[in-house]
Formats: sequence, structure tokens, C-alpha cells
Amino acid sequence: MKRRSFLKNSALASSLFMVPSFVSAMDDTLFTTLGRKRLVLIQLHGGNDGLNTVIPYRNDIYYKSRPTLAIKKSNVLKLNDELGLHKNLKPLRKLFNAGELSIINNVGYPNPNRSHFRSSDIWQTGSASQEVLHSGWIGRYLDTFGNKPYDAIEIGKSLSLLMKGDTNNAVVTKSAKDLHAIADDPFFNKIVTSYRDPHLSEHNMGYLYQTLIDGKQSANYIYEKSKTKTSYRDYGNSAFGKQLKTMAEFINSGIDTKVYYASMGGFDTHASQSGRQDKLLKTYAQAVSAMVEDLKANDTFKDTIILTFSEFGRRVAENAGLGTDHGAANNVFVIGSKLKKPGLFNSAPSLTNLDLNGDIPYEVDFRSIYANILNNWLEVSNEKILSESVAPIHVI
Amino acid sequence: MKREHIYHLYRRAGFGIRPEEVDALQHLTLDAVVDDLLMASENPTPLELDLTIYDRYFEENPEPKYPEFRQFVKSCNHLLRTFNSEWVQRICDPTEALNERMTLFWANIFSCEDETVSYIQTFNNVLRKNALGDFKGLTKAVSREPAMIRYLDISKNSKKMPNENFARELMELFMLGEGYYTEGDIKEAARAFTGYAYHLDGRFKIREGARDTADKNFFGFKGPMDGDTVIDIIAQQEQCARFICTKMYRYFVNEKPQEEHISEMVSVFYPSYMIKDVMRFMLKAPWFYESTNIGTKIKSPIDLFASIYKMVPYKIVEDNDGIYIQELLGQVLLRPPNVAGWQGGKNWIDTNTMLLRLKLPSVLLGGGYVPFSEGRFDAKRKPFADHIKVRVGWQQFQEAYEGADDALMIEALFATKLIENTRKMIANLEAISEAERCLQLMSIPEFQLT
Repeated sequence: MKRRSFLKNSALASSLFMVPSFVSAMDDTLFTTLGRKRLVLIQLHGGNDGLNTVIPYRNDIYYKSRPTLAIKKSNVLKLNDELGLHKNLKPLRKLFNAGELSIINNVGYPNPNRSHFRSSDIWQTGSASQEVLHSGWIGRYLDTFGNKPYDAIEIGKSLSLLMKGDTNNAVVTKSAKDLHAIADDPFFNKIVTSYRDPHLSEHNMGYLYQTLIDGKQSANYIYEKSKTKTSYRDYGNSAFGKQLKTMAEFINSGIDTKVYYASMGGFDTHASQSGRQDKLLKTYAQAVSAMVEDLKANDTFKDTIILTFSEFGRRVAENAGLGTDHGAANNVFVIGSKLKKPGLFNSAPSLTNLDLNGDIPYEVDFRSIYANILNNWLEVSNEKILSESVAPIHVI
Repeated sequence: MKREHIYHLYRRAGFGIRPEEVDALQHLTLDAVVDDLLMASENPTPLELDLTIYDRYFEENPEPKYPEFRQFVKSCNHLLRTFNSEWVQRICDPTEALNERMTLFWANIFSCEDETVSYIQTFNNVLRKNALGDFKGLTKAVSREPAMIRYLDISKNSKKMPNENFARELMELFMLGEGYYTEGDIKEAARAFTGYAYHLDGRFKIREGARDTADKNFFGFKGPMDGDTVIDIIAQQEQCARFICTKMYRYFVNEKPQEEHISEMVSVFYPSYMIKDVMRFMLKAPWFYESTNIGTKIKSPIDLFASIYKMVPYKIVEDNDGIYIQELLGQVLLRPPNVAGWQGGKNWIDTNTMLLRLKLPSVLLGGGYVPFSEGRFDAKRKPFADHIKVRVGWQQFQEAYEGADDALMIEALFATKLIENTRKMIANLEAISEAERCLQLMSIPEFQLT
């Protein structure tokens, strides 16, 4: 065949949307199992400075430990007579006042690790400090309770450990369009249609073919379903804002996905912290509040909770470079309309009782929040997912 | 030796082989081919960047302060990306194939990361130099490398405040495996590694003040032992040889360990710990060539790069772009996920990496879509990595495959038999050139296996 006729045919072919018949048959059965509740996880990468996020504005030790970095009382959005939010978190105070935000203080784990990678792995896998797990807690949720390749979606470049199970994985993509562009090679349709060897599934070869089929199916499903929903709300111009906008579009289009994950970087503020963190928190707050409004407008907020965490907090005392170093326990935000104890979940960190490094010790084990979410929100038994059983606390 | 077996040997123990090289070997016996492969790795070539910038720094600052040195390191951290791309290049076109494979193997046992390129280069070359040597010597050398001393906090380990990080990983991940030591053993071993430190220019040193010179009780021995002694004592346990042989078996032969075969390897490896000997034994073992062990392993991303290169040489122009692709596929050399290294196998594959891996050959070498009559010749952009500049050596491909039939390409590309329907589908596709046929073939799932 000559190049010219290739071209002629390809123009026609690319306009056809080819779905192998058995794939679309599978889709039909899956559309009907609409589970309602959704979990959104957000990681602030780098270790957000929790003390300048939820500020103990009446604590002398706070002001003494941070002669240049402490935030003035007059700049704090007061939550009670002890704690207040950073001024750029105004949208979160609105949620706080509406009873749609729980702030959990002093969240961490025993023997805190201060390496970003390691501590991030600990938070993502739900492991103990010394324990190395190779699957994320959401990944294990997918292994045990998942039944569709798009049960969980990460909005990003490559799949995080959080979303990797031993047998099942989440889908990762920056946008439905990107994913579709990669999956939509007509050549893949050829492979998928000609493949009829289900008995190979235990072998690596079968696994590869099955993953290709899952990938194509997810990409088609997410693309077709989500293109009906475009948000025009202002999420800001940040990459994180775009991620949350995509996420809100997915949720509001009714994609049958249980867990979403996105992350935002830049919180490792060893030097010149104040301007940088101000900007980051503003970006975060703008994106999250736009998402909440989007979900409310589409009546999906009632079925969604949004959990924001960071791999660790930062040291109480500022360093010589107008920044702060890696610390330990930190605060966690949970946003939703069905919170058991909205507002301040527990008391402010005690700055008189720091660990040997001068960091805030943990009071709430992060896994007790996971356990609560698994039991009461995703409605599965937490003991099947978390290796070391930690008693759930009652956030939702 | 059978052509199929030569391909298998070179894919697993090297980074592939070209058909004309197979032609030259096929009249030899298995023994001769394996001996050849080992012989070719006798004198490993170190991988060295031009680091005169470091030499100059130490000439101008004979005794730099630590924070200043870190500033300097940061200022030239682009060299780390250069080292990454030079290593990938070396893997694709190895000077000593088996030794280079072993270097990659050890780099995933002695998992390590540092931002100081000079430390990383020396560390990498310690692995390369000892890759087929004595395992005990390799482990001792690794424990003295600044990159490892920093990565596992050995320099924070002192008599006053012991740090068990290295001692724990030494036993759990490098030498024995979980369940073959106690917490008490870790404490005693940590005491033996006290005082290990390094000069900023990378030379090893002992900080006498930090050393714990008192007696230690370790695995039934008592004495004022140092780190080397601890390594020797651990190696006296046959379990150490079994642990490493199991790692080798799972990497080179099959992810599912066969105790019978591993025991045969242990009897060669223990107690001499000569890596070369056990590799020679394994590569000559009849079970290495059993069909269940051929074409059943999922390629690592690096293996995928190398196998494409073996067919069609290419060079990603910018170091950053090469790293970008490695990130997408989940394996950035010199940036292991943690001290346990990459898990490998099915762990490489999720729906996203699967699609990207299948598209990689056409994205790197072609227009981003697999060329065939219904393909996307009208696409204006590649579906990913459209910005990346790649130089492609199509000429070398043409020299080997011009006018060749499908069979030659299939033999060179695939370690496994093609699924019958896929084979038929491909056979029915038209391709204008051998190059297009090659891209079609490299884009089916079978190419992901080795």
C-alpha cells in the first residue's frame, strides 16, 4: 500500500471511535454499580509548616521560638481564643464556620522519620515507622475491595505508592484528554480485538494483555463520561488548581470512582519561608474552595470527603535561614458535610512538651484516621487494609 | 549453541545481542559461549564523567566547611543527571555486557542515593569493579563509601549515640533477610560500625573518638570487632549465600524461586563468595534454558530502553528528557524508591505505564502512533513526550534488517512466542518498510517480556 492511500484511510479511521464489543459489554454491567461515597486525598509535599497554618496566636513559646517567622496576632483568622488560621485560608474559615471542616491537631506516628521520602512512604502505605510496605493503603483497598480498573484515580504524572496495590492499581492521568490520547492508538484496538486468551491471565503475558484492556477501557470510560462536564469556576492558575478542577469534573460527571488523589509540592521551606508559604496556602485554599463550590453546585459534596495531609510538620523553632526544618506531628484537614466533630477536633499542640529534636510529638496516629475512613466512609473493615491495627477515631 | 538460547543468555545476563553477533556464536558450545561472556568482563571500564570542577573546588578550598560544600554540590547537581544519562547509555551499549548487568543488579541490592555526584560516581564504580568479584569484599567496600555512609546514617553512628540504620539494612536487605537475626544482633553490629566517616573529598576515614572499641557479642563471637569482622561473621552463615543466590535466581532466572536450583547455586557460592563462579554455574545450568524461564520476565523500564536500542540505536538529546521518560515509567536510575530498591515484576505495570510502554518505541523512534494503514499519520502531536528530541540511528537498523523477512526481526525482538492471534493480526498488517514493521512489532505486549 502506498503512503497516499494510508493517509486517506487514516483520516477516516481516526474519526471512528472503536471499542471492541466485549469491552463495551463489560462497561454496561459496571455502570450500574454506582457506589456513592467518595474520598479525596490531598498531600502537601515537602512538609507543610502546620504551626504557621493553624496558629497558636496566644502562645508565648510560639512567638519566642519564631522571632521573625511567627505570624502576628492581628493577621490571624481566629477560630477560638487559642488558635487561628493563616490569613490566606479565608475560604477554609468559611467551611470551619459552616461546620464543614475538622482540624485534627498533632497527627503523626511513633518514632517519627524526618526524611521526606521515608515519611511520605509511611503516610502513603500506612506502615509503622520501621516497617517497609510496598503497597499503598488505598492500593490494598483496591486489592481487597476493588472491582474496576478506575476505582481510584490519581491526577498526576505517574502513579504514587499510595495508589499501588499488590494486584490492583489506580489509574493515573493529568487529564481525561491526555489519557485518551495515549490509549487511543488505533493499533491498540487491533491488539485488544484479536486477543482471546483469558486462560493466560495468571501469567505475566496475560497480565500485560489484561492491563492493556483495563487501561483502554478506563481511558474510554473516563473520557466519554467526563466530557459532558466542564467547570468554569476559578481554581487559580496553578498546576494544583488544574488538578482539582479535573478532579471536580470527574466527580461531577458521575464517574464511578471511590478514591481520588492529587498532590501539591513546594512546602519544604527551609529558607525564606514566609512569602513562599503564604503563596502556597493561597493556591491551596483557592483550589480547594473552588472544588467544594463545584461539588455543592452539583450536589456531590454531600457524598465527598476531602482529607489533606503532609508527610510531617516542621520544627517549632525557626532556623537561621528564615525557615524551618523537618519536624514531626502536624495538623490534618478533613472537609465534608457529615463530620462527627466539626471545628477543632482536639486541642492545640502543647509547645512545652516537645521531643528531643524540638518537634511536636504525635497525639493522634494517622492510621486511626485511615481506620475511621475505611470503616465509616468506604464501609469496609479497616483490619483488612492496615497491617498494624490502630483503633479508629471518630472524624466521620 | 541454539540461537534461541544465545538470545536468552544475552538478554538476561547482558542487555541483548544483535543477530550478526548471534551468527558468530552459534557454532560454539554453551560452555564456550558462557566462558566468552565472562572473559569479556575481566577488566571492567569505570564510568567516569569529567569532574574537574570538583578537583578544582578542593584545590581552591583545601578545607571547606560542610555547609559551603553542600552549596557547591547543589550548584553542580546537573552533573547527576548527566551521570544518569551516561549510565543509561552504557547499559544500552555496554563495554562489558555481563559486568554491566551485574552492576545494575548490585545497584538494586545496595540501594543508595545521594546528591553528591562525585560520591555517586565512586559508589557506582565500586559496584562495577567488584560486580563479579568477591561478595564479602564488595560489601565491605560499600560500607566505606561516602554515599552509603550518608544514605544509611553510618556517620551518625557513634559510641555515645548508636544509629542502627545501616546495621539493620545490612542484615535485612544486603546479607541475610528477615528472620535470621535478632534486635540484639543489630545493636551489636551497629557498635562495630561506629566511627565510620568520610572526608568531604570522598576519602574514607575513621573518627577514633566515635568508635566503640569494647567487646561485642555477635552471632556467638566475642571481641572488639569492627565492621569488616561483622561482615565476615555474617558471611559464615550459609543463609547469607542462600539469600544472595535467591536474589540472583529471581533476577536472572525466574521470579518464582526453585529451592532445588538455588541449593545448587549455594553449594558453588558458599563459602568462597566468588560471584563470578556462581554466575558461571547458573548461566551453564540446564534449567537456565528451560522454556518456563525464557521470555517470562517483565522488562524493567531500563531493560525496555536497552532492548529498543539493541534494535534501533537512539539517543535522547537532553539529559532531563531521558529522566522525564524514566519518571513516567517508574524507574529513575540513581533514584531508587527506598532502601529496598525496585520491586520489579508486575510492580512495573499499571494501566498508565502499560500504555506508555507500548507507545514508547513509536514515540521515541517514530511519529508517536504505531504506523499501519488505519494509523494516525495525520497526528500533529505525539500523545506524550512530544517536546523530546531524539537522534535515531535508522541506518544501523537498515544495515542489519534491510530486505529481511519478519522471521529475523521476530527472532531478534521477542524472547517469547507471539500469541497466535496477535501474530496473525500483525502478519495481516501492511507496512511500507522494515522500519514500520519493526515499530509495529515493538508495540505489542510480547515485547514487554524478556
